[in-house]
Amino acid sequence: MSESSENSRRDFLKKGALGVTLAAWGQLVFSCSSSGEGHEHGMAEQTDTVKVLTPDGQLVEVNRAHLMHAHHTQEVSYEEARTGVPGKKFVMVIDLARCTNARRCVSACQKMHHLPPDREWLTVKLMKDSKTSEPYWFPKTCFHCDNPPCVKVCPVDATFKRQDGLVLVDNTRCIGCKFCMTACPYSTRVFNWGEPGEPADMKTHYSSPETSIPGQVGTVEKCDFCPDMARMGKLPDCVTACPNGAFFFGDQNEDIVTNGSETFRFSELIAERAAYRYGEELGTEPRVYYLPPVDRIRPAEEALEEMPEERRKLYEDQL
Amino acid sequence: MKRSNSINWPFSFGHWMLVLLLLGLSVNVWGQEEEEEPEQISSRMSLSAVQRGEDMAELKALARAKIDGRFTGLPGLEVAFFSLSDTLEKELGKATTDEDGIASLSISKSELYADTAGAFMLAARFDGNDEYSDSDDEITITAATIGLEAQEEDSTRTLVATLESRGLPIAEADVYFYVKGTFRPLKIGEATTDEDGMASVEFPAGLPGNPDGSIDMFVRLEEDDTYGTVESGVSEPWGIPAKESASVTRGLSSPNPPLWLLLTFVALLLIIWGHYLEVIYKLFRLRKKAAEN
Amino acid sequence: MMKTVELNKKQTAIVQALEPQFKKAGIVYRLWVGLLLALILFGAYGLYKQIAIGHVVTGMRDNVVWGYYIANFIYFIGVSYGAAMLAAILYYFKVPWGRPIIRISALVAFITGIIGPVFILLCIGRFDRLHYLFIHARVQSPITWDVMVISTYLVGITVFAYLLLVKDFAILRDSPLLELPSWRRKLYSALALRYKGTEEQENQIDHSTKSMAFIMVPKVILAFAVLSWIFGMSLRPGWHSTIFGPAYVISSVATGIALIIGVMWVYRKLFGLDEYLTDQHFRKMALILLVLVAAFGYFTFSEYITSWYSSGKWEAAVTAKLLDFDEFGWAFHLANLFGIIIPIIVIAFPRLRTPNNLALISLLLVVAVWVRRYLTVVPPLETPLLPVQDARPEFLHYSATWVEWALVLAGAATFFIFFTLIPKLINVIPISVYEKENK
Repeated sequence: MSESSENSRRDFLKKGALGVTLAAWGQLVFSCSSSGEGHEHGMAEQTDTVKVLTPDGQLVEVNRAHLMHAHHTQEVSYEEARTGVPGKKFVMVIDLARCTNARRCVSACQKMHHLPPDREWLTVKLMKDSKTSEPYWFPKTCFHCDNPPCVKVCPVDATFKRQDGLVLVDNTRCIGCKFCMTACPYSTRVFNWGEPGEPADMKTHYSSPETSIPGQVGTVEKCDFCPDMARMGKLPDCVTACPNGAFFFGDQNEDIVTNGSETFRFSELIAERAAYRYGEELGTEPRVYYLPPVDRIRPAEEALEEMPEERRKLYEDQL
Repeated sequence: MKRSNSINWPFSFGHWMLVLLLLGLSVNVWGQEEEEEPEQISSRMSLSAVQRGEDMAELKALARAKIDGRFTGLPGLEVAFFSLSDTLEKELGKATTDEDGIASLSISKSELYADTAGAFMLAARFDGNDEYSDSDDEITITAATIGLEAQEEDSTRTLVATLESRGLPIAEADVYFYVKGTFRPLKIGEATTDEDGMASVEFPAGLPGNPDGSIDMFVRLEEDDTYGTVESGVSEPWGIPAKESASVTRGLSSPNPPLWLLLTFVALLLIIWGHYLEVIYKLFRLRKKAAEN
Repeated sequence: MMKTVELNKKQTAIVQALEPQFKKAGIVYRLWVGLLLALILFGAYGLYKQIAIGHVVTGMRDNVVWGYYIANFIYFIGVSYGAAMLAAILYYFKVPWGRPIIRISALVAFITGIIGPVFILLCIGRFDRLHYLFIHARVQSPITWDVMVISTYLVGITVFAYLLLVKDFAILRDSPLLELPSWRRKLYSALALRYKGTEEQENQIDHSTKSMAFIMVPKVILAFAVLSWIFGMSLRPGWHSTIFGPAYVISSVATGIALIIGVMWVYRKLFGLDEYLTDQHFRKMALILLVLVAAFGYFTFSEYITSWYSSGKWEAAVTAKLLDFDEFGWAFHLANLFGIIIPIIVIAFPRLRTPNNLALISLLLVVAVWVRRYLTVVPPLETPLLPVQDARPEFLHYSATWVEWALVLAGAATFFIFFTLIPKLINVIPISVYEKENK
């Protein structure tokens, strides 16, 4: 259960899937199971902590997030955090053919935003469009809709649409009425039902709608596309964490999206791969595009078979 | 399980004390050893260089260590950069690694020692600290420049790169052309240099640019064994001008409501509350009138 | 010499009939009030837990973010609107048989109007930021509309109910027939605003009350609409339907009337008011109820048969849950049986239309509509567009915790305690409305 599973490199001679790093399969796939109770014990802990020597010679285990001092973010004014990064229009493309439910995106997101295991901003769903069609894994971020139903209904302007396309939550403004949660048809938003876990080190973070840190009890929060990172020209953590390069992120204004190692023209990529937006008929105008799960690098069932029984049960209804 | 009761203990109380004393001593000795020589994690350094434009060189040092079985960049380490010749050594400067473990230093190539063949010997060193062992790396690169020219004929736009080393063209080298992006550059073409050291690609149509229509492009010889990375850029008004971000319009998902909604809302409130005030005023008048009577 | 309000024969009779209402409380009464207080205290303890620990003490989770509280909120506030509408119409059109009922209607409207909004506050995660609803108000949000409409409505119903009381306060202040402690006389005197029954005063009060009654009707319709839009404006099947608003209005007015019938029955029994709340009154109310319940039945049927018949996947999933006996089927069908079918049958046959039967079906209806409110809120939330796939059972299905039960019971107890205490102070049969009688 150690990290003996070094990343193995395999080349995919498929269009657009060249040189994708594939994580070794096996337990890693489940190392960060979402919400199961088993999460607190076992592998997850081992992957999240590292052994380091302190300056006084003690061998201690610390959370890797702390070792890395998380991310140093560029502090911006409240006004700037509300209007967005000038001139940008952030967009995401998710290649469903590359998602194998490795769940690295989820754990990277949890770490980035100091979320406890039971509160996920990013989820990976198992989808099956009809009885006869094949199931596929479906990573779901916030869609940052251009016609956001959640923003419309907010009574206090706590959730808002920025000029750079992002929909963010100001958790110092949110009154916790949850109206946005009922308005979002994609079940994107999560609520701090109790005290938020894993407090962030506020020496290296700053509080802003761009960071949503620290989390506040009784308020709503959600995937924010890591705007503090984007402002510095860095990709969101889910994008860089994906071993298969399934997430592409970029600026629609400059028509470029990248998963870190491959870079495409956004308009060409979505045209050539017949991208679609989830729930298009709802008129929400999502900013996340999905590339259909054509030529999957791995059938969805394989990930299912490797799962512990109790976890597989969650997906039974879908199959 | 069987337990034997018939063991004869050969040791006296004194023996026992001696054993205990020895044990205590040895524990103490081990403890001291641990404090004196803390086990450092061995770090690794890899140095690379980018020759940029006519004269500049950027030295990049990546400090890493194997943590938990995975190579991880080490942030916050101080790395010193050196230019070397056969006999001399000059410190160019110091830089601290960022959160990805990269320290970089930009310097004019005229500051570097060069041998007769135009090669630079460069080194990066980390002296080690309590946590990580020292490490260093050395590379040798040969001076080279790449020129980038934007040509427009009729409706064809072409980027032409010229790769040279000390005035002589470099042939048969693969160079890549890019457009700058927020997160990563977008490759728009690749070509191999001819005997004049020239390579060209056609610029794709329809790429968006900055608000003024300018677009930043660059060409790169990537991680060449002899020259390292060589690049240079140019900015041309070839992009489709980006629209200035529109001012905030009124709407359901804007902070400002549609006007008709606001007016209806306020009008309804005013009418009803106005009516209330009238009724309540009259109630108080009732009291007052009675007093007058 | 101060002029006092003169009473006619009928009014004198009512004042005399107040005796059982105003008499000193007995042991049963005290125990009852004690029980209600205990329930309210228990609710307060639950609320304390919720504030101290967070909403994690409730059964609400990320999919079902609203539960008992919102169901209770739309239930009570709907009943309040319905009762207010009835009181306003009865007053404005001077419906002759409606006179003894106006007071009870106004009280039901006022009391449920106070209880309802408390439950939406319980849904708010951050009590400390409630004032943001005003200082950062966003006019686009139906919640902002609701905050404004409800606060406006509450002021309106309070003023209306008070206007209806002023003359009676003056009568109670002046009446030599009543033996009242001096503090109560002083209280009535203060509340009567020196009303002496002069023609000018009378005209003024009547005019004000009439204009309040007039404006109450559009206001209540607006309030109903806004409340239903909190649901209707969303994209959720079960909420996002045109008929949602009308069905909500109709069922709420029906519940309001049923509640008024129940209160009439109890007061008639307790205070011996058979002469004023006659069988005839019950029958008239029942006929209104019949029309409303039938309409509600029709709307319900129309709503679900369309989604059952057509093939919209998401919407059909919600309807399927309501019809499935392993999910909400029992609750849904029983609520329709007791809330729609049985009331229609009982009211439709004149022989069955006795006050006792009507009180019984009113009780059934009041509970059944509460269940329907629950079924309005929870099944659509348990049926999101994307599969839930969560290991935690509480994220799949909502089930209320003791905290929610405690607060819901406290809400009901508050309703009962108001209706227990108010007759000690206010005559439940209005006196002044009979001033034109026998003259």
